[in-house]
Amino acid sequence: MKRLSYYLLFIPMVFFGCGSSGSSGKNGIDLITSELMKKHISFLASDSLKGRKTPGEDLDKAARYIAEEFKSLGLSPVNGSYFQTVRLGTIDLGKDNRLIIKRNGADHAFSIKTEFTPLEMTGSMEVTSAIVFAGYGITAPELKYDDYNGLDVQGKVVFILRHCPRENDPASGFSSESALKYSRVNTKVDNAIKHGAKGIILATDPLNHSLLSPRGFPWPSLSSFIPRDALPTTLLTDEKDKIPVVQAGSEVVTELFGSVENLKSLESKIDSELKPVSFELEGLSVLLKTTTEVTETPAFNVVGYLQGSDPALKDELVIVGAHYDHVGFRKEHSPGEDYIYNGADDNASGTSGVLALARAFASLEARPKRSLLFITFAGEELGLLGSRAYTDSPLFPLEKTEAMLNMDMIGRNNPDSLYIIGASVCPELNELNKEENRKIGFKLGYSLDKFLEASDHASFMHKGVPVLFYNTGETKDYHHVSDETSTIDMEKAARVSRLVFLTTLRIAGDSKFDRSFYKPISHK
Amino acid sequence: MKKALPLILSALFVFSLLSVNLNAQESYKLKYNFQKGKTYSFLSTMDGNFTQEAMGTEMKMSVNGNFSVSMKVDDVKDGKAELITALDSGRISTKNPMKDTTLSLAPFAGKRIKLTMLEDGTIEQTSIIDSIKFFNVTGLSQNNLIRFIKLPKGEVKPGVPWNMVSNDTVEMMGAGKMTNTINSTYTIVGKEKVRGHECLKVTYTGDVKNSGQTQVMGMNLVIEGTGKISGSLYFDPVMGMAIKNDGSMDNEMTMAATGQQNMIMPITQSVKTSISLVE
Repeated sequence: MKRLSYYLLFIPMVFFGCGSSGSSGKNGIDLITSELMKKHISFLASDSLKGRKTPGEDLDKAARYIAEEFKSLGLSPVNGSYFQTVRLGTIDLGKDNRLIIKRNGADHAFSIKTEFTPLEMTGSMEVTSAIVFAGYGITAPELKYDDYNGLDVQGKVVFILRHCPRENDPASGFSSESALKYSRVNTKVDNAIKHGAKGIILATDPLNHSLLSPRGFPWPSLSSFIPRDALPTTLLTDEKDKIPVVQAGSEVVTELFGSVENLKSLESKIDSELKPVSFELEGLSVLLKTTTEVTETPAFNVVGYLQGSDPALKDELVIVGAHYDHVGFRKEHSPGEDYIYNGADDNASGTSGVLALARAFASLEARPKRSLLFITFAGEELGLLGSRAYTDSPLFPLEKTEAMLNMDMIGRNNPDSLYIIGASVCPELNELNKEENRKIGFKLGYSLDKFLEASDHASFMHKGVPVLFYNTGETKDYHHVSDETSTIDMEKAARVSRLVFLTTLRIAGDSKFDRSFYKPISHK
Repeated sequence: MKKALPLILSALFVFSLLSVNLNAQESYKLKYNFQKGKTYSFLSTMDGNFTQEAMGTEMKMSVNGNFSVSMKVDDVKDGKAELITALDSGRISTKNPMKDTTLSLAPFAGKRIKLTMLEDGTIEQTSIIDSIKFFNVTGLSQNNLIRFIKLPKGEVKPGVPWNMVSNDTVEMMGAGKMTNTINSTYTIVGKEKVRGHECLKVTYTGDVKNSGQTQVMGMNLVIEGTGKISGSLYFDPVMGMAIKNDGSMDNEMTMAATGQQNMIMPITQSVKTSISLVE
């Protein structure tokens, strides 16, 4: 069910921006001041916003504040709105879930939880078909291994093993870090769907693992122990693209293969020669049905657009972003106890940086050649969900997005230290940033590339957009209620924002800047 | 900024998992024969692989540990032994996609715990002599890397299995508790010479159930799991002591979090351990 706030958000925001820049004689970079940072951080990290958890009314208040600011600065909305909807929600297991194996006209119905359990990526769908044993369900061209080679699984249910062949043998090729993806359930499911399968039954590989339980996903509705509140908020994809995916236990294996030992023999054969043994199970068919219940609770990325001045380059874009959500508040607390995770550094500071840059760029008399998109993301704390939603459905073509500069936690620690993350994958962008830093004077650090996947720039990086991530390092207040406005070095946050301003200006204004240097890296 | 919270959380539970595995064995009918004034030294190793799924991704972590533990028999009276145990040294190494780390357990070294134990392995009393707080765990040796299996009351014959159920409560991060219930079946399968000792070889299998709850980083966590253990125990009936214990455990747990983040994380563990008496 959509919440009331979903509608309220749009009421004041449907008009194109027409406000003034609010400048007072200053221009551009001079407008990025510690006072401005303090103004924004003080509001965003105030107790009244209750920690800005995604999704929720407290986050929506922050969204409206940011949109109002974009509007007042004269930034344009995109497609008529300052908001990009991020489809979020929870997915619970529905009530009607069935696994029935039909042999010579006789039905064997299996019990949910004790004999089979749907996995988290399962969809609402019923399929009746033949069943095909597709080994480990792996297609690995670089290892010259394909369980689907010569196999027709179109419209059928596949039975596949978890893990990978000879998983403990370094010589198999499957134990290397680059091959780890093949053992992942998501990869196996995507591969089966790609080959046309309409249902998937997984089982733990019995040769190397002693537990052959029908574990599936630990759905709260199947457990007396797991609270329903624990269901994660996820980015909703189209349910119609999903197929039934279940994990089966030994009873189902025995029905399909005669015994667990028979399945072990098949696995043993695959492992010994590293050659697939895939086949359709004769005389058997299966009815597989799973259902899910989706509760949608949208959140919003907030966007403000400044069109570039060069007719030839204005279709190209530089994005300046930061996430504006945090982790909310503690429901159980004592009277008088601080229970709100204000998230002043994480990431009211970066959000304020985006707002400050928007003000600075909006005030420029001569706009950069390329266009600029200022964006604050929801759902970062839940797994970069807002930026993933953007890069899945970009408002502007990603291939024309020249760079994405991300600010996340920019207001703490030594006044002169700043970490630049992503320099190793975007060295040209980093060189440009280093040149601009000569005007600002930070001592730049590059030792935090372990956080390369840890904020919203990663969503862009994986889609081929060059990125840099600005961060002033962790503190003891990280994800604690003590991450308060009073702890922020406002001047430092302003200086970081000025550096991002200069680097953005450079990229957006330099017609020779060419993003083709960037080689996208794949997800770990 | 978002960090790999699931990975951090699972790492927090490594200590708890250790105790599941190492406490999981039951034994053969015979009494422990502690000699007053004697000090026993034990070496134990652990190799584990952990896979956890959260937020649509699957992460793998391997954990390797080495521990040296000593136990001094302070007194033996009326069938009860007073034992002073302490970790001499220990190290836990983890490898995960984020980074590899090695954690020295030096802060626990020499921190003593006193146990009052009956001849059948029943612990009547436990008291911490040297308290410590490290990563919010008050004492690794409380988890007893060398905890003695409880022996059966009656006579047990080779080839005839016997069953033991144990309930063990261990400390988790965030001051919570986890209860491990282990239902094990033991069988004497023969004799074997180990480290110069004529030992009875006892094989065992068992079912593990674990549940617990705690609070970490403002989140309420609940844990539920089931698993299987198996292994071989070598017991010197003359010395009255287990000389060696090689075991393995496969466990499937679910960690559910509410609060800062809501998540349900299936965790799969596969752990092998070996504990040896070093004289």
